[in-house]
Amino acid sequence: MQKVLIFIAFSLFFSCQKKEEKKEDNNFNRSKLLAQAADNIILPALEGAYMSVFNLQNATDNFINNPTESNLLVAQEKWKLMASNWQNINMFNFGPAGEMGVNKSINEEAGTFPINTSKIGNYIQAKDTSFNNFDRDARGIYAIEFLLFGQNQNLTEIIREHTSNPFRREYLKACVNKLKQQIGQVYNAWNSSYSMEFKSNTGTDIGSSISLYYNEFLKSYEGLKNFKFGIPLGLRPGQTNPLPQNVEAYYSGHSLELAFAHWSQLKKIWEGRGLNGKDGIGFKEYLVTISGGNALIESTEKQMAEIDKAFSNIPHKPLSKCIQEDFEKVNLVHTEMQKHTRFFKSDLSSLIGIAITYSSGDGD
Amino acid sequence: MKAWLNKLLYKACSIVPLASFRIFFGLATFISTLRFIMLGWIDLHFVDTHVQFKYFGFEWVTLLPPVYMYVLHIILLLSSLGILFGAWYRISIITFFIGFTYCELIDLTYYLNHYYFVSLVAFLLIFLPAHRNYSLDVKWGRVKPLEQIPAYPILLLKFQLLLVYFFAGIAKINYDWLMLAMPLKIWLPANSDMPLLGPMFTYEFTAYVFSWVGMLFDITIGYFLFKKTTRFYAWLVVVFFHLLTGYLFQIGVFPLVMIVSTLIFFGEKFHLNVLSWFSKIIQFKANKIRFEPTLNSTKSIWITAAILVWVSFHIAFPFRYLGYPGNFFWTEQGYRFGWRVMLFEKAGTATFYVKDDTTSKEGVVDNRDFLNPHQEKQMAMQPDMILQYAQFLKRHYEERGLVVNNVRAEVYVTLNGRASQLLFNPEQNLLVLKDSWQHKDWIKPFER
Repeated sequence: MQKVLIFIAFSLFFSCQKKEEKKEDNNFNRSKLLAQAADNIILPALEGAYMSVFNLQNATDNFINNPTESNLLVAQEKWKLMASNWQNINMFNFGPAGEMGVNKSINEEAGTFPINTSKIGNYIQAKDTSFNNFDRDARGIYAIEFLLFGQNQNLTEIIREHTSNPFRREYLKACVNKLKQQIGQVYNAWNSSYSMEFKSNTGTDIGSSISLYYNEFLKSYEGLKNFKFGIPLGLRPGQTNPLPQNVEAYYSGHSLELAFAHWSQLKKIWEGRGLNGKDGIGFKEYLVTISGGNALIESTEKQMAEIDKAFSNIPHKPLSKCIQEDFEKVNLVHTEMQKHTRFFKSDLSSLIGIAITYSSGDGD
Repeated sequence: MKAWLNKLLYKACSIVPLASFRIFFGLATFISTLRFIMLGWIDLHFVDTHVQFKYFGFEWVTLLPPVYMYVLHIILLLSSLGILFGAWYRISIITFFIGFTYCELIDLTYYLNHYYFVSLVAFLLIFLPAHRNYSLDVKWGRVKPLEQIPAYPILLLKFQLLLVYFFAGIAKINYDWLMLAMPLKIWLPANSDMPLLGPMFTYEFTAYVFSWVGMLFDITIGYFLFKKTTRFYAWLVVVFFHLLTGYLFQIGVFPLVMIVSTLIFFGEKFHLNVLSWFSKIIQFKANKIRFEPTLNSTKSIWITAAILVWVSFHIAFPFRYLGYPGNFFWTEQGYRFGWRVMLFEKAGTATFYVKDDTTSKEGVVDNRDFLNPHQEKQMAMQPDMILQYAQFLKRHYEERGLVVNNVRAEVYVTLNGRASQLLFNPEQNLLVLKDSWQHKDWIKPFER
């Protein structure tokens, strides 16, 4: 019996060896994917976000010290730039940007929307800038946005609010400071030691770099679909009407640009394309080495083109307006993204063999 | 026939391997429970949970409040120690069996073949005299020691182990596993960072060799474990096989359970070594104890009948999948409780739509609102869990004032690296379907 077993093993070994040529080493590819992610995608994105929050701070400080219309306009512009850069980093919620680094993930800490304007009002009234609370909808990027852009107010009215209550400016200052500190913390960690740690953990088990990177990528994709489109469109069960005011960046009206920037960064991650446009190993290239991978690449990119098309059909207006005036066009983005989900979700993780949960399994 | 059966079941043999098995089993369940607690899984599985998927026929099993779940796991630890040391053995093993099985029945998501195995063995141990020697119960004079027992207790345990390997082996005889080397063609390269063996995993033929050797191992290992001359080497292969798969795959304590359980195949001599070491720990002096030579009047028509029923059931039950049409890796009808371990790479994306009759508006569900990643992963490819989730969504949204008579889902499943395909018609109202032993004819046929 043992002899038979050994014989079969050997004959298999040799019969396969003849036609077999060595495929690219997956391990090598994984480390290349991680290196590309760290060096050309994540680090430059963090640097960009940090620089832009730095510029935002300068501009808001100027406005706080000297609340003129031109200073406000500059601060608003800097906010838009900051928010665009934020779209490049809001999917890396692991390591220093995960629950171990900044309390909750940085996306929850700094990127919560819709914000709660009455909570913000209360904290300003109470002169409380401690942020010693769980009201993440009263601070962060979109709270800063509200304080800079106001709600249906012209520049004079926004400035009047800030000058009539000096603590409003203090609160704005504190929010910007907090944001800068949070992004700085993540940027510094990546810049010092985490980058090496990330690149050297080349396994596929849970907690491995590729599993963290992939799982947060997917979560971000679903977040874009559900929170930036689904809920504002009123697509959840029990939602009777759209909630246009729930879009991201409602107060600045910059929502469509930001959603598209978010989507663009997700596409770049799939391709392994760096912030400077230089292409490298991404999930796409990694799939090439896996049997069945090419078919998945084809169907993925076909559907991604549909999403692009749907985006380009939305008129250049704030998303909140589009939802009211061109509902079907916005809805189409959600529909196409919904159709796409399986390619990123089950098909990709299944082929790459990435662990998505800690629990043991044996049934699959 | 009857004489042969009597000889097989009631032939006197040493209690030593059984006592030793009891110790290993208690140790394994202790480690397993401790690991479960340390990993924070009480919270993950039993506290921070909105939905529990029920086992068919065990819908009545419900979650206890968090405090009780913690206490229960402490009790499981203590009863494991009770089994290990043979202290208040009967009460320990009964407590363990009930507590452990209860925990397993709470949520179908976490079904594991080796937990089923642990439950079955614990059940058997309730009736077996595993504490009648080398135990604190004997030391304390709570029970009389036995030197010899009938053959059936050890035979039953061996039978239970052989089933695991045998069924795991025949399940591997399928086109994907042998001809396509799937899913190992996906799983091995994913582990190419493993020291020594890792670089080999990039070659496709490695996946073929592992697939075929794995199948042959499962089917033949029972024979080699039974045979005295090959036993030792077979066990070394068992250890190697389980350590390797334990390293490669996220399969928890399965390797530990199998490695220590298969020791039961060894004879008295081997186990005496184990027990002499154990005796020192509990200061158990075997020579001071007067052994009762053998168990009296054990031959019983009732025991024989019970054993026959048990054995026939466990041989037949895993084969129930033959009664269902279609690819059972796809439909998973008759899949569970059949020792089918790490057989396919499967994943699904399930999008649920809930229609509110008051507004006639249909909404899309975000599964992350209700399920943890493991629950979502398991639900998205298993038809019975999909039905349960649809019912949960109805209940959940009706509590929020909606009137729900239609829940449908678009479920795409990928099997062994194939492009994902629809599991069933997305227009199908899932609320009108009932889970049962019947064939689920609403599942679309699998297309290669």
